[in-house]
Amino acid sequence: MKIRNVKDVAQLLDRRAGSALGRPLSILRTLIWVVVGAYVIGLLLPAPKVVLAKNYYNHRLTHLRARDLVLDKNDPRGWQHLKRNPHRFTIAWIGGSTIQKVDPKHPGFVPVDVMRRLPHIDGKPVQINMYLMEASRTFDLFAATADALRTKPDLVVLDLNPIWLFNPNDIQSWTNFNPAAFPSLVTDPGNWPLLSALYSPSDVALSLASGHLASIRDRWSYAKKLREAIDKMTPLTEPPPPAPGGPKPTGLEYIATMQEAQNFWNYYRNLPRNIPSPKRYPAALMQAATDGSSLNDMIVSQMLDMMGDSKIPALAYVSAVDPSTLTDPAVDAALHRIEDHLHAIADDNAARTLLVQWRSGTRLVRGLKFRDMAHMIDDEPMVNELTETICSHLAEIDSSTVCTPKPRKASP
Amino acid sequence: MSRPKLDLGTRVPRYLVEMAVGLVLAALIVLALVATVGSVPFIYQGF
Repeated sequence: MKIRNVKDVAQLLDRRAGSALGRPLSILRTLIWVVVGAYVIGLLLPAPKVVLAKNYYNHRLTHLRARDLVLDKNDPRGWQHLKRNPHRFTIAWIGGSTIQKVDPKHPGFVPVDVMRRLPHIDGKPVQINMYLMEASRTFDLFAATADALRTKPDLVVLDLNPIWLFNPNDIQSWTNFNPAAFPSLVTDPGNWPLLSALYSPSDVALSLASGHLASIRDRWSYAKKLREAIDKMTPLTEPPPPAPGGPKPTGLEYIATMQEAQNFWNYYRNLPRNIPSPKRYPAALMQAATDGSSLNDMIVSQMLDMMGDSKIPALAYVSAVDPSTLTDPAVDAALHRIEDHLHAIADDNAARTLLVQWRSGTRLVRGLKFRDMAHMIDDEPMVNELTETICSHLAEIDSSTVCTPKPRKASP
Repeated sequence: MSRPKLDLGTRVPRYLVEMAVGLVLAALIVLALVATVGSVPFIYQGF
């Protein structure tokens, strides 16, 4: 056959390939082969397993009944579950960097310190499943809480950082949670406006595909393995990290140290660049929108509603901030505004099993020591407060609960 | 009763091409998804 134009080529291909992909049914069969192919790849090339004990924080939790379940910030699986042990009292503790103790000599975690004061509840050893998300924002807490509730723990504790709780300029940071949290969130029509605002179509498609296709679900593990192989071949090298204790880099050098677009946004756009470092947290706190105009309100409302509906005992508390920052009347007023707004939303979503401690820990305890506005060096007063709140809340829900904290440490 | 015409001469090449295109597409899609996930471990560097 002599080929003179495109039509001739199409005819030739049709003849040789039996008109494949020429009709809707043929396209459908091809798509089925795509799904079969992705499934078979997952079977033939299983991804290396995630070793939870090797996660960034878990090496500090060896020999403790506590684990951080959150995977890498780029891993679309979001978190890994531990098999629930019915012989333990499981507490799912969700929060950002504020649930850490950042003492350089003795770093630790608020949930672990609570567990030390409260090793048993109802005669069962306490197990802490942490969802620790550095730089978490309100929607990240919502996604993690939805997952935690699905695992049916005995108690859910949620740390709300007032700096970001109602900040409309920074609603979400852990976008990798989107595919993982979709199945939990989509079942409640009240969440649909949030999903339409914060999800992309690919989040939904990949979430659906991840349900049964390991090759798509485990792509972070494949990518890690592939990167390790490629790194040996590449002539490119990473820029050296800035010298510790040296001057803070600026300009392009500083941008090179940023790991995500959010850093760039916060540094160059969200807050004025001339604000010195210690003032950045109060400046972010004062951005809180408490007039009902921001998406944060809907997130917080849905989150508290979901916690109450679950009937699982739950405590949501506002983390402490450095009391010295409240000497500025504007910062103190902003924190009051945030607390009052949370109080109003909590009242709208009241439930017997849910306790919302809407006042910041700073208002409730004395003697806190901080590195900066948000991060505690000494968490003992807050740990004491939370331990006792947990026990009183559990006793209020069920008076037969046996929850007796170890005595407080004697003051030096 | 007459036997149905299977017309295998036309259908078999079509089915084989569909399978080949589908499997190649699956491999490319998985590869693209793997290549677009950042796997450098994230370590928080402060606000």
